Amino acid sequence: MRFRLGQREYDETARLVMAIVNRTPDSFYDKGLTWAEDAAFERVREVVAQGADLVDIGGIKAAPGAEVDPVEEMRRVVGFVAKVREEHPGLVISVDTWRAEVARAVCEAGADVINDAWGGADAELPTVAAEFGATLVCTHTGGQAVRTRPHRVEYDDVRADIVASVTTQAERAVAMGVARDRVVVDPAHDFGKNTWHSLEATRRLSELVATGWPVLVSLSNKDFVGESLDLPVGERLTGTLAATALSAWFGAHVYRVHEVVETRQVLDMVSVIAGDLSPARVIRGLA
Amino acid sequence: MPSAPALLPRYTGRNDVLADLRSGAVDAIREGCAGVEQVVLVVATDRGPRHAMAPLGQRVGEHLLDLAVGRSDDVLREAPSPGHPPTTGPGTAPPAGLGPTAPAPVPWDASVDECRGRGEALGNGAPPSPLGPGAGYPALRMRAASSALVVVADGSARRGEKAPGHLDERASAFDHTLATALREADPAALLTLDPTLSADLLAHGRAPLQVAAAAMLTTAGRSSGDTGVEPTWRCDRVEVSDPFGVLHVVALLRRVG
Repeated sequence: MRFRLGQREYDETARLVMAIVNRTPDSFYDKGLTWAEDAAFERVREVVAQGADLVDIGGIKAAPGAEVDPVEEMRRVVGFVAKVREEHPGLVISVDTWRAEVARAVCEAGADVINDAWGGADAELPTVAAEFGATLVCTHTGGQAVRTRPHRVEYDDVRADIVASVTTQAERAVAMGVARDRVVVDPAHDFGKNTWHSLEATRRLSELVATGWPVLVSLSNKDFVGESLDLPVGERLTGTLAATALSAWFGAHVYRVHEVVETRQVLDMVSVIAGDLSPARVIRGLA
Repeated sequence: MPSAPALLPRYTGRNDVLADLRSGAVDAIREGCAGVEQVVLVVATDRGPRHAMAPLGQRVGEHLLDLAVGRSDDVLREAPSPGHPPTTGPGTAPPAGLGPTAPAPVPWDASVDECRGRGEALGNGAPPSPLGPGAGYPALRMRAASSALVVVADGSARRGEKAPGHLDERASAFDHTLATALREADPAALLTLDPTLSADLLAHGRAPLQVAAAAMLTTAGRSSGDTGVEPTWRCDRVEVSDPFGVLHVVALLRRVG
């Protein structure tokens, strides 16, 4: 299995860090830390220096909140994408949007990946990805409406629902012209899922990997980590990294994260244990 | 030549810790083996091996020889990409470009007399002893004018509290004797190294060095037609390092008469 993000090509042993860059005043974790454009630019420079493989730029928080229309969303992200592309020509740029019109604008500005976090809410999104040769992330939301929280959601088999949903979206995207090696799937922890569902999605992640599509996981500081450990936002890094390590072992390929340094270390450690990467520096007992 | 496992691709991490040491060793081999018709690789057997591979010294020596002739540059590569960890073969084929190579393994704990006997045999043109894995190599005879010995050997491994064998106060003096003998091209001094002390200090190079020393003395005498003459050797280079508590030495000695 090989897949492409921008100009880069990866194989099944890839474990890539996708650094979150919010262009929002109200996201749950950073609470507007990079709302100012200068701060957002600095965040990009920082995560690139820390070893991020790509950035994921978002203009709307996932949770319910103030309405952000397409014009405002584009105002937040399009010019920013263009400037990031100018400053970092080789950086893979993803944009977190479900709207085709926003996707078109950011692709024109230089985005490489459309991260459709709301699972096909806008049916025209694959058309835009196909037109620009962008990579499309197909996400499981269990039919949850955009920017809503799950309430009393149940599945017969959440793993099966995830696999069926994302593979259907992926094949549809390919049928609409997206290159097969430019489709990524995401089980979308916490989206349309309670903690039990997200834990099941994690525990059985290898079954999603087995579909052959590259897998993105977005675990960072989420509520399923918080509820698992009974910890608030801000104290979930250790739990996030544990889930990251297991997901890496189960074969996920892209990790959407807030903390790049720690994630990079965990992923490299898993890669080394798996035999996919040599240890960084070895001399103990070998001098 | 040092025998650190980290010189081998299979043990080298993304950061090639011993790159400079390897580079120096390869340069010395190129310089010392240029134009020779055959190479004899003098190595020690492993101490308490728990594997069926050729002795470590032989594998390291063969790898360095490979690098010297440009047959293997895998360890000089960029960082390995995921999915392609560094690998190496068993290293049993003779390297090309330097003429045939024969390994001459000696038991790591061989007595001085045994080492002397093996070295004299080599110096007198006998093929290397078949001890240890050597199948597949041609039976070579060492000819003084066209042969080179590549000796894979280290000093002590107890040169500090972080050393593999922890600190042994005797290590410094022992290593000084070894390094001085090489620097002064004095094979007789190498033959004074004590096997028991060497074993205590985890100095894995004592036996091969003493085989080489005896060969040097024998070759010198034979070439002059008088076994009683003093050897005439010179040291063209010697590099000593111990960043990890193990004495690594790269030295090049030439016969000058």
